[in-house]
Amino acid sequence: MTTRETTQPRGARRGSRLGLPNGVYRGLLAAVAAIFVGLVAWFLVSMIVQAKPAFSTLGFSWIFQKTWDPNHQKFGLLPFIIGTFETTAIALVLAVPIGLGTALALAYLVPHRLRALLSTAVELLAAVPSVVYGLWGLIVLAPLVREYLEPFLTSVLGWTGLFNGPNQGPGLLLAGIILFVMVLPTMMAISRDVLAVVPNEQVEGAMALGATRWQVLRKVVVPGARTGLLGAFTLATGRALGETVAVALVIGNSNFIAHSLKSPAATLPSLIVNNFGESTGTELSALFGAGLVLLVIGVAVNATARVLVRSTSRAGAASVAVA
Amino acid sequence: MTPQADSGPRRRTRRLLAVGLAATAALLAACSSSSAPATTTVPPGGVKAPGNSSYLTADLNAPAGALTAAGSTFVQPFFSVAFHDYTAKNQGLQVNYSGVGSGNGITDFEQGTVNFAASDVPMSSSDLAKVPAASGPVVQIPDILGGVSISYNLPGVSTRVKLDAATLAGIFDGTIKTWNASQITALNPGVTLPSNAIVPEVRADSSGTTYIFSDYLAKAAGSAWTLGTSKTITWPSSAVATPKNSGVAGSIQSTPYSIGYVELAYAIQNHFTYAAVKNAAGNYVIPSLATVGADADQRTNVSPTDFSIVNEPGATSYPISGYSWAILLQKQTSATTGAGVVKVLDWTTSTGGGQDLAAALSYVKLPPAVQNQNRTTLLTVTGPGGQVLLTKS
Repeated sequence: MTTRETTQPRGARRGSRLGLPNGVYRGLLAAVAAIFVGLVAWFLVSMIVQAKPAFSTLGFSWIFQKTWDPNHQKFGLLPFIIGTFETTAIALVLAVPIGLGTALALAYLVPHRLRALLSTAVELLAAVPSVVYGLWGLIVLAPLVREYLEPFLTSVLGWTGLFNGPNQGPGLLLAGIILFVMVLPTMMAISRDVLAVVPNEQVEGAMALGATRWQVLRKVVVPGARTGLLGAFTLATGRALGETVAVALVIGNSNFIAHSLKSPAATLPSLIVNNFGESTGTELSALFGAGLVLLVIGVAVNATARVLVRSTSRAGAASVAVA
Repeated sequence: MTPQADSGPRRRTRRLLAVGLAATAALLAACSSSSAPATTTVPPGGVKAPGNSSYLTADLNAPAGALTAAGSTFVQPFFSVAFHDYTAKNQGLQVNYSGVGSGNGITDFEQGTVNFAASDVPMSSSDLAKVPAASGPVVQIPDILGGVSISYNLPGVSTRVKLDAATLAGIFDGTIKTWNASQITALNPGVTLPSNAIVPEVRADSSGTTYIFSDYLAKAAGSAWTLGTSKTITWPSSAVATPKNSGVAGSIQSTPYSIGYVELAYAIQNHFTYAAVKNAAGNYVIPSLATVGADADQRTNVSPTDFSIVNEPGATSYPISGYSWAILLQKQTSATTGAGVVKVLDWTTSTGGGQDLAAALSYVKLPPAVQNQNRTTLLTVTGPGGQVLLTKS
């Protein structure tokens, strides 16, 4: 009670801030920061401890083996690593242009009144629980993909060899599409915010030089927001890599490497969620190993994006200056 | 094996539905078999009848407290209703059951964090080896009976499809690829089957349902089934796998020309179309509470090491059936909670107690001989001082 009385009024708080030595604040902030570092370290160490039995019984090569067959103590993760990358790639190939396009439209083209409505609609998509996306994908989207999208893609792009086999519904393509719907709000909302804060002087300056609206967007706005856009991309990738329940419902969960975008496949998260409840011993440990691999992939993607941001933001700044 | 947890009004309609369906299915099953009705090895009521009520009365005098239990999701809807009913009748003893999956339930039991566990398949010798030696022997008893339906989505075919083990093995290992394959048409004379590709629908998660189904194929199809008996099967790449019964069910509903194995309670409650399956006597039998019960009646001397009841003889036996198991320590660490454990389990696995709630939830009652055997087993469970915990009133 007494602390509240002393801290609540503005003047009193300012007084106490002045009264306390700087070191206390520094210490407090350091403690808060340390909690996060500690959490990450604890998390990493416990994952490694749990996964260790798998590494000690199977060596390191098991990660890149092709066969997952717990009945014969085979725990190869390759099909799931490939599946994780494939579904994420499909999702991003769709989400990046559509998300960026929507964001540009919302930030610069759409009239104000419509802007709020559209933004709310996209943000609502972000609030839908992932299991609902999964069920919707399985019950509603799967028949549409099987009856219309897969036959269409097969007839148009069949020559690529990516669409061999029967039209099934659940599989890589459907999982990629569901992930696209799920990462779109992230991609769109963050892109819109970073595009909106590009300094108006630059936009107006370009227009004054006679640039068309399209040239302004392409040469000034997008390069200016490059760092933030890569951030949006990283977050969207992270969500696509790690999505679990929705993917498990629509991907068909085959333990084999898919030969076609229409084939059932599996991802690291779907493997974990499907098998965790009933697994013991080496299998359980291998699932923790799968989690560790997923973590490494996530960190690698994040790091690559950071490097890209660093190199392109310099180049971007230079190009803006030249333009 | 996960029939969804249910709520009040839905449960009521479901109960009516289940009773109606059970009656219809029993009739159908009776019609489909030309030979004599099933012979049960134990007369109705069983040997247990005389002392039954005195045990059941004493079961409801368990000491107050709270028990924790965990495991199978298949048995969870039954356990939640049965334990709720038990607590209503025996004020003061609560049972908190978490449906965390059989594997997790067994792990919890090995670590001693639960008073008892439930699993779709009894603990294996390697599981048992992980129980600390100081804990003493483990006791496992059947707690309820269930069946596995072969549900399908076959547009334009209104006649019920008949299948046998060899054909099912071919469909699920990917060697029989279309509905009008000669193996299927041979079993269904007079039915026009489409030439569409079959989509096998299977479980993505480790499951007791998969175990019972693969056990049936291994025993009834013999060498034609090469994928083994397990809770997880490495299915051919043509199969579509979805987690839980609800996932497989949803996938079958949204995929024409698909076929999958779904826990019977779930298939009954969702009005699925399921195949008549050829049993050991050569009859095509529709799964129902009655026909699954008939299969179990054929072999009641099950034990944790010899628990399979698939493909039993008997004219009306539905061959893809299996028990769910409750797991407890033979020497309880506390006389008070120990008495609670044995009394709750005795009540739950007895006619006159929890078994009377089974049919309404589309589960099948344990045969009287199995109930009897359970009581004999529970009478060997003792407290820390060696005293028998199950009592008569």
